[in-house]
Amino acid sequence: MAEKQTAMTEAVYYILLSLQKPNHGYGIIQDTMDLTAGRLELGAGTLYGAINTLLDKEWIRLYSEDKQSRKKKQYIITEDGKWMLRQEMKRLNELLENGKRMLGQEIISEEAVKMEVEPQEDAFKQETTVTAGAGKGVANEEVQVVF
Amino acid sequence: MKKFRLYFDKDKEEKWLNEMSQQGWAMVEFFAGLYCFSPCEPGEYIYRIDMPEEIGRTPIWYKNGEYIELVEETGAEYVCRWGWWMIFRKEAAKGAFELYTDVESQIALYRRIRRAFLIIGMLEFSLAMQNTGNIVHFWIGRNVWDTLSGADLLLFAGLVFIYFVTIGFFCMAVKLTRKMQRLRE
Repeated sequence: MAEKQTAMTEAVYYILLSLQKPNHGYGIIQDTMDLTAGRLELGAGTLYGAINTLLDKEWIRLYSEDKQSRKKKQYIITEDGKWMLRQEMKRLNELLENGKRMLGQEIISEEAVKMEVEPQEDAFKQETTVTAGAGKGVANEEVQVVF
Repeated sequence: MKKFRLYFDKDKEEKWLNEMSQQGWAMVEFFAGLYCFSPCEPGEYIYRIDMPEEIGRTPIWYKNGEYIELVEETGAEYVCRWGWWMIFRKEAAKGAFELYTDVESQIALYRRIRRAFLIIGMLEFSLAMQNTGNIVHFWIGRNVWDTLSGADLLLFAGLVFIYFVTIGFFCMAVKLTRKMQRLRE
């Protein structure tokens, strides 16, 4: 656990969430879609790259290999992965709590209502860039989502 | 229908394949710059060019069945591969088709391609230098201007081509670095 903590990408965060139980590649894509109500559809290349990185870091491990199809691998989160996920949740919670404290609850709910009203179907390839900064520029994450 | 093209920029190549699909020509095969097309409904397919594996980390003959299966589960279809390149397509009717949905993975893809181009560019460059030496030596040895033959011109054209490809790879490596910077902004 020598690596310093940096913000996780949305993809990594949801992959780790989806791997609380054994899951295979396409299962992760589906679970992420379900969890985000269709907002975040992980591309196969993004998922495959992230899985390999997470395997290298040992945040996830191979759970089983289906003997019949020979290809379909299942993965599961490791103890290290769970620890990193909890750290990230703490960090995200801090961001959210600070935001609420500084802006006030009303503004957030107002924004949330606005976002819900926006039609999702029309936004075919809408790019959303969320920039969240906290403290002395420690956490500056950019999340790009392509619908 | 067959077309011969040399692309260094996979984004331009992808755009061209999608334009061909718009015109009713679906790419079905690729071999050394030769693209084979078969007729399709105009705009039937969306093409994506991918390099999922890292050169040097996985051998060129490694057929990544796991990855292909994953892409096909998302409703797309594997078309062909060339070295480390893979080409996929998806019926436009089935919705949008993106293999890389965040900036981090888009940058990682460009980094893999740049690495491949730099390695291959270096090999091409050493090949070019070696051949230049050999040909110059050969020509000086027999006073080439008096006995210039077709074979000499062919040799020369081959050498120019190797230089052209080498320069192409290095220029593309620079271009990829710029693309990565633009994505980071």
